[in-house]
Order: sequence, then C-alpha cells, then structure tokens
Amino acid sequence: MGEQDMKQRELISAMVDGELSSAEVDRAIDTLESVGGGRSAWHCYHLVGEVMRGGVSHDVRRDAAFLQRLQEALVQEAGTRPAPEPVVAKFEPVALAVEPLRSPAGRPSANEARFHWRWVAGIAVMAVAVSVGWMAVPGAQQGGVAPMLAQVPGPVPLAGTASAPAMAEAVVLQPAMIRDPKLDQWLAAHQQFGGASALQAPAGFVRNATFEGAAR
Amino acid sequence: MNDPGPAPELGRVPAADSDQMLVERAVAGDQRAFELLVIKYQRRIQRLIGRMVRDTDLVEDIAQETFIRAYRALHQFRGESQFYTWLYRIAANTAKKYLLQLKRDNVVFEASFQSDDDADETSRQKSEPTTSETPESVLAAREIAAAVNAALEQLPEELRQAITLREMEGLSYDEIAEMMNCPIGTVRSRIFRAREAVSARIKPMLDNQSGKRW
Repeated sequence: MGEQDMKQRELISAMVDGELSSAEVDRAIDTLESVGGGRSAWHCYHLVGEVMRGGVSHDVRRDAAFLQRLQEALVQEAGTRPAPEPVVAKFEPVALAVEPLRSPAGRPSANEARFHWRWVAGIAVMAVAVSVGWMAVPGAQQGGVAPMLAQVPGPVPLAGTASAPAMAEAVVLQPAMIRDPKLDQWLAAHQQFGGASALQAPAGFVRNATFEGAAR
Repeated sequence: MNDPGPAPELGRVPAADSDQMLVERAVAGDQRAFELLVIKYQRRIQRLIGRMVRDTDLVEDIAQETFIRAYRALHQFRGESQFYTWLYRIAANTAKKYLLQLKRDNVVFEASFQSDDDADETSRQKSEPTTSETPESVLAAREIAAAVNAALEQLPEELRQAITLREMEGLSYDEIAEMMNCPIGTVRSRIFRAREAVSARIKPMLDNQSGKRW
C-alpha cells in the first residue's frame, strides 16, 4: 500500500469515527467512491467496531450480496423518477439513466414532463382568481348587473294612463272604505278582549306609566 | 508494526456530521453516497429486524425494503434527528407492516408478532440469541469474532489501547489523546493502523463466501 493510499484510508478511518471537518468529509467521500478498496475498508472498519462491541450476530459474509441486491433495486427505483442533477460535477454519473417509463401501450405516462402540469395548474388558479374578483369587485361589474337593473321596466301603465300624474289621480279616485261605527263602539267596549300584544298579555290591561326620577 | 512517531497536530475544527453530508449527496443523485450509508447501517438494521422476525430470509427482505423506502423518502430527511434514528423508525414500521401482512395470511405464529415501539437495539442482552439466527449465521459470527480478537491480541499495546478506547469506551480523539498523552494526529494514526491490521485478518473470510465484492 502506497503512502497516498495510506493517507486516504486514514481519512476513511477518521470518518468512521466522525472526527473530520466538512472539507475532510467531502474528501473522504470522494476517496470512498473513487479509490479501489475504499468501500471495502469502510465496511471492514465499521464491522471491526461492531464485532468488538459484540453486536454482530448474523452472517456478515452476506453483506456484499445484500448491497448488490439493493443496488439493483435502487437502479429500478431510480428509473421511476427523474435523475436529479449531480451536485459535484466531477462525479461520473452512475449508470442510472434509464428510459423514461412508458405505459405498455406506448403512451407517455400521465406525469411525464411534456404535459406541463405546472402550467395547467397555474392557468387554472389564475382563472379562479379572475372569476372571484369579477364577482367581488362592484366596479368590475359595470355594464353588468347594474345596467340590467336600470333597464327593469317600472309598472306597466294602463292604456290611457301612461303619465305619473295620471297614476296619482287614479289612486285618489279609488272609492273610500266605509266603516261601520257600531264596530268601533263594540271594540272600545271590549278593549280588554283584544288580541295579545307583543308583551303576550291582553292589551287592555297594559297602561303607560312615566317615572319622575331625581335626575330629571 | 512501527509507530512512526507523533503525527502532526491536526487543526481542530468542529467534526462534521458525515451522515448528513452523505444524505445530501444522495439526495442530489449520488447513489453511491447512499450505498455508503447502507454499508454502515445494514447490520444494525438487520439486527433490529431480527428481533421481530424469525425467518432469516425475511429479515433480509425487510431490510431491503427499509433501505428502499429510506431512499425514496431521503429528501424528507431534514437532519433534525440522527440519520440512524430516522432509519430505525422506517425499519420498525416496515417490519410491522410485513408482519401484519403475514399474520393476515396466517404465515407467522403469534410469537413472531412481537414488536416493541420502545425497544432499541441495546435493550437485548448480548448473549440472548435473536430469533433470526441460524446455526450457520451464529457460527460465521463466531468465526469473525474469533479472528478479530486474535488480531487484537497481536497488536502493539498502544494500537490496541487506542482502538479499545475508541470502540469500546466510545471516547473521542481528544479524550484518547489526553489519556494516552499524545497528539490527536497520533491517536488517529494508531486507530487507523489497528483497524488495518484487524481488517487484513478478516477480509479473506469475508471475500470467500459468495464471490461478491465491494
């Protein structure tokens, strides 16, 4: 193992212990991903600690196979979502670029980018906002409801009485109702049997009273 | 193994959360960063699931599902808790879901359906076997443990002391440096060389199994 290799592995060992600064962690991760044997060292260093603490009970020789299975599953997983842009440009892209998912019939999937759902959603929101604004702001309804009210025709005058004075005259000329004076007398004599007032008591027993307070 | 002497003193800067940085890279599309997290935590997750499920193969399946779910939800991880705490919750929920499904299909016995929200991996005695352990896995674990112990026995005293203080006592480099009366750089170097020596002993055992390599 060369000097450089030793330094890189020492960096990995310190990363296992969480004793690195941010810049060093970045460097260590780069090493882990690029240097041959880096991942093996990462695995072994963790394993040694776990064995020393007595925490290993299963067959650790299957660890690599476990990861391989998971890698395959993750590649499939990555195929179901768009691969994000890598943060560090110098990373070689992992072989995750797969064909975008299509339905068996060859139709593009509903969530495919070409449908521009964001645009559709934005236009829908704007349309709702305009509709609400139209109904809520009175000024926006000029030429709408108000003119319609103004155009509502008044009472249709009878033929020959089209003018307003003529209508008033018609009201005055209506015959007056003749009231029988005996009815008034009878009502005055039987006032206490009148209908219930708003106080839920016969109106005949209710009297008005005033109170002279000292402050008055 | 010769001690090259005190290493140059390292600049003491606050230790970064390497898990968080790996998560950020993974969210940005670096799948290999996520795989490093898997390598780090897969055994702890399998041990956790192994306490809830009998079947060894099922333990692996649930662990796989756990990591896939974590990968899907990785962008939701805000770093407000430790990454392992977050992963632990996913694993526990995934195992419960599996067990419910299996119980519905009458595949598992009632005794298998034991999950405890409050349990963590430290709640079990080390000598207590997990339900998922098979004679083969127990034997393999014992072989690895014996190899590690043998390698530790052969280490120079200062290397053994450094790695023991780190792994068994959980001391920081600062604390170890103070205890061993040496610079932090030397502590880092000693722990690294101890790990290398032990790893050299167990690597052939790991590579022989299935031909799968990292």
